[in-house]
Amino acid sequence: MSVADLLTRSDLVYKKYEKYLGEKEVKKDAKSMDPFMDEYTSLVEKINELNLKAEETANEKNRALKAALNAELRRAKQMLLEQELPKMEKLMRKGKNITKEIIDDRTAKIAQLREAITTIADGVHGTRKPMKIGALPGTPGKGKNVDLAVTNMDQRQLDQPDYWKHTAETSAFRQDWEVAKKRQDKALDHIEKGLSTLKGIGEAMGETLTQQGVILDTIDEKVDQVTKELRTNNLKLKGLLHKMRSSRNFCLDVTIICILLALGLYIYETVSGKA
Amino acid sequence: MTSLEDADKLFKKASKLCTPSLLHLRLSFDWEQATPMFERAAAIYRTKKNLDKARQCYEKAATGQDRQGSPWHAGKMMEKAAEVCKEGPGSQVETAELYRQAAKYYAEAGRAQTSGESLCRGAKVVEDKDPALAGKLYLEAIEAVEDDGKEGLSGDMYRQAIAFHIRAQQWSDAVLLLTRFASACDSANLRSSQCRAYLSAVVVLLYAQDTLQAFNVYQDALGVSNFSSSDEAFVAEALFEAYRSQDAEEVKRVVKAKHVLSDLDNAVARLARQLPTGSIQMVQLGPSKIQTDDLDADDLT
Repeated sequence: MSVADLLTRSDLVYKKYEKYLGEKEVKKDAKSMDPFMDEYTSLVEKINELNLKAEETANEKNRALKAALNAELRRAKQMLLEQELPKMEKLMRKGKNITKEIIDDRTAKIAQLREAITTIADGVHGTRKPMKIGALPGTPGKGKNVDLAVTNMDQRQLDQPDYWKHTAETSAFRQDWEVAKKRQDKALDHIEKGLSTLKGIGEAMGETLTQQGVILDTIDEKVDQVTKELRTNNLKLKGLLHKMRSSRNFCLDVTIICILLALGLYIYETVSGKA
Repeated sequence: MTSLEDADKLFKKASKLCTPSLLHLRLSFDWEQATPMFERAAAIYRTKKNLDKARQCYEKAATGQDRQGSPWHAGKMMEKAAEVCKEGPGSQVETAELYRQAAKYYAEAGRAQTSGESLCRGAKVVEDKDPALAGKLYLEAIEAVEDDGKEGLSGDMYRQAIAFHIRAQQWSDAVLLLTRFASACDSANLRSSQCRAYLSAVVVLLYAQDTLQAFNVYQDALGVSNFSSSDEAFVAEALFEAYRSQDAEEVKRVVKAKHVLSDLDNAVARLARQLPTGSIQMVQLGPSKIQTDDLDADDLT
């Protein structure tokens, strides 16, 4: 039985026996006297509900589900802070016989509520960083430092100051190198763009194939079921046909037709004989 | 040539078949004959633009199919009735109710996905005139599919709902649905869609100028192993670095350089191209560098 079945059946049962539910006694919370306290009690209830949800979420093992539930919790918190508390502040000054003490008391209550809302645990924790599989945490994946080992160099040659200066040749070479590097960088960017699009397409195709695979498996099962049922139906039909068309029935039918014809002939003879 | 009179005749005949009568020795409704008559009458009424009667006929046909024990066909008839209601002067609430009824029939037939799809179609129909109702219908569709465990196969439904919320600028609803979609993808092991969903959630929140929430969602998402080693996570990290630098030009540069952002859903990619919005606030986004022990060169211990 699927969940949808359960839901429809329980709905029907509920509707059938609804009339036996006792009339819910509506508590008259002295509503006209103190709207502030009504709002306060309802907000406290909402905060308790959210706290319960937060506890459940904290125990959730599935990380993706946890992320979704945390997002919902945060949204509920934001809504409480942005909509309900201003409502309370407006109601603070309303009501009969409001003295300064009552207003102070209410301000304190509102501050308490604000703190209670902000302390609802919504899964905020220390910072995480993304990391590639196989990399150690702490290596943000930038390029490695390459150490060039310079060996077999004559120290006297290295000490001459002119050794390190640019000549016309070297500066021209360097410029060529820079131009070529820029061109290659541009081409590589182009390739990167294309590759990332290809990667996206490839991944989407892979995912669609996985989904289709699941659907095909379900179709396979259903078709197996249908083939079995068809087979039983065929056998039943064969049995029925056999019963209907058995040779005994056929002979009986032929004999009865002969008798009827003979009767008809006899009646015709007698009638034509009389006339 | 089909005409209104034919349709009227068919309707009368079918209605008579639905009333018990002693003359024809009929004690209960004869749905088997009445249902196709109702369908034909409804089709004729629809072409002749007599939409009220067409809707009635479709609804009766749906009941007929249901009584005959075929809830799937009943659902199809109900959907046709809803389409007619949408074309006619019926209110959005009535149309939505008809789509809901169709979805119930499909659910009875055990087809949760078709049920969800019909609710989505209903939501699309009413979203222009009644966005709140459309939002509710989308939520019902997603719940129907999640209840049956087939949420991994219904990516299109989620996408439609998310695009609707983004169009209506309901950022928190869009983010909720995105995280929900991501957890649905988790169950079906759709890595790429899941990572893209988390990145889209971050982008939507940054566009809505809620950097703190964006960072919280990002941190939650990093707990999921699929996302934490994906390209999309690195792109999000780069975005947050740019935001930390408080330089709008830097953010624009990152958005342009990272092609992954243009591979997201159309609606979200459009939002990403418009980042950063508003003033970049200095929000506590967490330390930018990992707290490794700072090695002091002079410290010989």
